[in-house]
Amino acid sequence: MKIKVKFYADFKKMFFEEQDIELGDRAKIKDLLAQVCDTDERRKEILDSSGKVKPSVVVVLKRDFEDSKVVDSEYAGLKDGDVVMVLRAVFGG
Amino acid sequence: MLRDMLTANELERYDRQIMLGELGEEGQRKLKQAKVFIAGCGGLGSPVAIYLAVAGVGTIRMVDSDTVVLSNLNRQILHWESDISRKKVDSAIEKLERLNPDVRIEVIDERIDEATASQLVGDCNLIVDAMDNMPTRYLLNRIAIDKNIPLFHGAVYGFEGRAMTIIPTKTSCLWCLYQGGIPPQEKFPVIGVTPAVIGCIQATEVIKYIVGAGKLLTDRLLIYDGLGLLFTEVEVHRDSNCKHCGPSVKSKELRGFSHGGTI
Repeated sequence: MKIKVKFYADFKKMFFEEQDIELGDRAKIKDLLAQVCDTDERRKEILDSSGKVKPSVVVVLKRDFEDSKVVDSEYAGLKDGDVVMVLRAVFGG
Repeated sequence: MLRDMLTANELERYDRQIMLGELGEEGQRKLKQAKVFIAGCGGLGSPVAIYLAVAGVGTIRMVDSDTVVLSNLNRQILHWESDISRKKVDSAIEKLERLNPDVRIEVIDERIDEATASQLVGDCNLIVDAMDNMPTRYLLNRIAIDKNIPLFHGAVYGFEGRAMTIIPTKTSCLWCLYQGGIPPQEKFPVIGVTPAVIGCIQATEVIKYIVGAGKLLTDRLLIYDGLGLLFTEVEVHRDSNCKHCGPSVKSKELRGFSHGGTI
């Protein structure tokens, strides 16, 4: 299945702005993040030492005909065409 | 009270907004009675203060301990070339009082921290988060919850901005969303039009809340992408284990205004 991944604010420079990622049919959020966190530096920004998504990282799932929602589990399943947004706090004012 | 009645001057000044069904003279009186706390006189604080002042918010209290420097001037529109080396609060009060002499501007040259925050907010009806760092934003989140008054959050990075309105005991808060996360706090890139948009969104939310109109930006994070001119809304649920607004926080009756619109 094809998932669109979007990064925001300072994450854009570390990762990319937007990319389509190919995943297996039963892929979950954790599989997607494992694929985009393909360097130690990227992994450190998103995942903690046990491999879980850091609490301060907000992962949002946008699915056709549904509102965008914050995902609270990396075990949430994905569907073809989903958009996953990854962001953290911005502090500028 | 007599002082809350609208003068002939005010009726004329605010005529175009009094015409709005959502406002009317009653709404204008509510704006006049309001006391708003704006944390920060910078990129966000400038447009927020300007638009609340011209809308007739009765009392605007701004707090900032910084001095104007040249690199502020691409976005902090309350401050001009001639204000370099002045305290931001001094620069701000001068412009705001000239913009609208009918409103009361209070400025405090002080740092907002654990020791000062609650007293600085005092008896203001609501807090506008126009800060430039996460620790103080979380502090304001906690103060808003402690005082049971709304918090109007805004933040910017480059061409991107975020906004969310927090109504304690009713909606998700900043900690529910970001879980206390603090990104690396270094010099951040920003162009003036970004805090202009987000500051205006914050001011819009404040006005809506005070007069009881429209649907507030609650339980939703608004992400503004200036480059693509896209607005994205993300649902944000209350975290039942939230360190700031979780079940251990006692429910208090909302003081000040009760919003008649939709949360």
